Amino acid sequence: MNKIQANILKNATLLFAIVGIMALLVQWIAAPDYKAENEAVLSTIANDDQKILPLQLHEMITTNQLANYTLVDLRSSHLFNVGTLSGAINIPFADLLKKGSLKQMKKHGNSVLLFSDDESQAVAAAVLLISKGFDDVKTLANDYDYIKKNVLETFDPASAFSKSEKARFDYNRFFRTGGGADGAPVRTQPKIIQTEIVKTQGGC
Amino acid sequence: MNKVQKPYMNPYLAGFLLGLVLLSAFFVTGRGLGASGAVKSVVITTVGNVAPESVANNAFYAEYFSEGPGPMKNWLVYLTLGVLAGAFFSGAMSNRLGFKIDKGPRISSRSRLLFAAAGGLLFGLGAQFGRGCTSGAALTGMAVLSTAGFLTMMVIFGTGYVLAYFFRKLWIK
Amino acid sequence: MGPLIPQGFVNADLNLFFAFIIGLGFGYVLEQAGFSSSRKLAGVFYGYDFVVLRVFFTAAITAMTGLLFFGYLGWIDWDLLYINPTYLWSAIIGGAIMGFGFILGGFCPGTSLTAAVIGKIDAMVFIGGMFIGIFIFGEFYDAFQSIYTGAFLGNVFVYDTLGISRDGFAMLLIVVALAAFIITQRIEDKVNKTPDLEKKARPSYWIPSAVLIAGGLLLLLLPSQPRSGWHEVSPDKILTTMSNQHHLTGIDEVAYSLINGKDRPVMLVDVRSAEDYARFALPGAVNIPLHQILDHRYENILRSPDQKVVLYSNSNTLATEAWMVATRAGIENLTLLDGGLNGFVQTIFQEEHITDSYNLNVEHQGRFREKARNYFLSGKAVPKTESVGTPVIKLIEIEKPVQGGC
Repeated sequence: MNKIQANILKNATLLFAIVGIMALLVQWIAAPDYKAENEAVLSTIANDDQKILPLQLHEMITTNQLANYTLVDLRSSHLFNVGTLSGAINIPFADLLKKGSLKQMKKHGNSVLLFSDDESQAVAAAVLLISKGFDDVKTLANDYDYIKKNVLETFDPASAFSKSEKARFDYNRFFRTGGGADGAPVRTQPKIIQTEIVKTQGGC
Repeated sequence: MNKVQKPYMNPYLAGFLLGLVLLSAFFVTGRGLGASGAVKSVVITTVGNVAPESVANNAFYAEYFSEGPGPMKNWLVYLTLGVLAGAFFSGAMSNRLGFKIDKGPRISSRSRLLFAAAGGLLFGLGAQFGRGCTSGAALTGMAVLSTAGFLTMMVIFGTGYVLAYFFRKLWIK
Repeated sequence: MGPLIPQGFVNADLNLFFAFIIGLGFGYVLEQAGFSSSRKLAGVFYGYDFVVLRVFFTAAITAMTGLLFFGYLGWIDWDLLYINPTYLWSAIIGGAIMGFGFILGGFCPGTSLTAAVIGKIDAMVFIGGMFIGIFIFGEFYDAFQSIYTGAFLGNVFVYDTLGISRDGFAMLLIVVALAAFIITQRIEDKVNKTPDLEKKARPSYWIPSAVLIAGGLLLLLLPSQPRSGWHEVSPDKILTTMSNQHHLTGIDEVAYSLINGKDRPVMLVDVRSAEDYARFALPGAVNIPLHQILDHRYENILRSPDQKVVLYSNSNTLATEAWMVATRAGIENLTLLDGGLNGFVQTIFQEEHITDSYNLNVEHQGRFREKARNYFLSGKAVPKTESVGTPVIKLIEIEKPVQGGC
């Protein structure tokens, strides 16, 4: 009886071992090729110090810090040929993850500086590169034409902290509220999120 | 009527199965096992019914009566009902049912029962301080790698070993 | 995946039912193992029967290894598990009293239940004693309280207290357990003077032991989290979606939804900070700041099956960051407002609208935008909460150890 049960134990552990190994294999094969966890990527970008504002760019140019980065122009080759940041290579956004592109971007180790004619595209490229293991990725705030006009040609101090996420309007002026039933202005309330608290408990 | 008792299960297999039960408890409910909690619920309910004034002033009982469905509609109580049912089923299947007093060869049944009561009292008291017994604090605690689990386990068994010599008459020749 | 009930995958009302089922397994195995006999249980202290150690240690190792592997594979979220809190002196004093009780009584609470139900009278008396012990604790609680609630170290892990790695500790525990099994078997044989014949007839456990050790080594080698989950979306797919601009929702569509909410409801998610959201938010929008976009609680909102979810910020930039992270995590059909609030105001309010053109599409769009402009300016965009369901987030809270909670 003891022998039979020891046998059951042996078979059960082997079964679990096989299932475990298969699960690990599936994980390994099916998981997409990222080199950094999503949560880690999120905390990196939530910090927001990847964005190089015009003032910082101006300083970097004058102190020649740009040489430490691989400069990547994400725009089309046509726009690249018309004019770009000196020393930049051209990798159109759609080709960002190609093997050749990644190799090109490793020229200065993991330090890459991205820019485009759309700030959000540069930021998107940055997120992808960070999740692919590049740990020193920067983007230029604003689009290339703006940078060209306000930093590269002559630095305009008024643009020092400019970036696309700056609110350009006082939004409340446009979504005005009419009077309520009693004539008082009704503030449009955002949707209320109801929270349901499910507790896991423990103890003896 | 003396049916032959089936032998006990291979201990490693039993441990393995118990581990799976514990694992599934965590997977489904997020918490592990526990045994003394249900007994505590009964005590609290009894005291609450018999002497409600003392409950009102007592911090220990207060929490159970201030909120929710009351101390008996409690995860541990249902777990315990399952434990009783499962154990009964196992005993029935293995022909181990029957009134009996397990004891060491050197003491009388009466002594055994007295010591059992004393042991139960101590365990009931100790399980409150320890926030669990061997199943709730030690076993579950070890499975989740909590310091409390290992600490409690080591102190329980350590104390047992230290005291074992002095009480050997209870169990061995 | 797990734990299922706290995350709402299984109805919380079934929690008590599962407690019963788990209890069935618990009770069955305990009784089968012989824990319904106090003589067998006491054997661990005198060397004649180490069943307690064998079952206990095996169960702990099995559950621990299982939990660690589940954690790695993402099948269980350790953050949602109950981790026993450490109250230093209370644990030590409690453990000592319980150890004393074990020697005198020969049971612990769980085993006493299994023994009592099959008829063991000593177990029934033991349980009676427990009632008294708990009652005493309750009566003198005021005196005990300072010890009971003192020296709270938190829900600490043993490997942190010892200062070693988690997987290192797991491997150590496995090795210690296997060694303990071998050593105690020898002691037991000596105490019971087991005949050689019986010793030789024993089965060998080298296969389960090898599997266990291999498992421990594997845990040591694997990182604590895989770098990407199999449910995540590949970077190439994300790149393609963005290159084709399939991740964008136009301003006109959102404006239409704000005006005719019932028709094509859109779930607006403001990913800016809470301050920005408080200052202004599009009517009916909810706030999920970027740094919280992966938070479990908001998953239900982002995955809304019957509404189109549109992330927005002042421009495309912040919304794009949120979109990318959320999409990688596996949330499908997510989009962002092309142009953001800046673009919205610019297009609807600042630009001249062409309401008369030979191109019908241009004229249609121009008229619509003009209408929208007037609609918003006159304050008609009040959230229609009746037409669109209020999102419910299930907040998962681990109940903190309460005074007197056990």
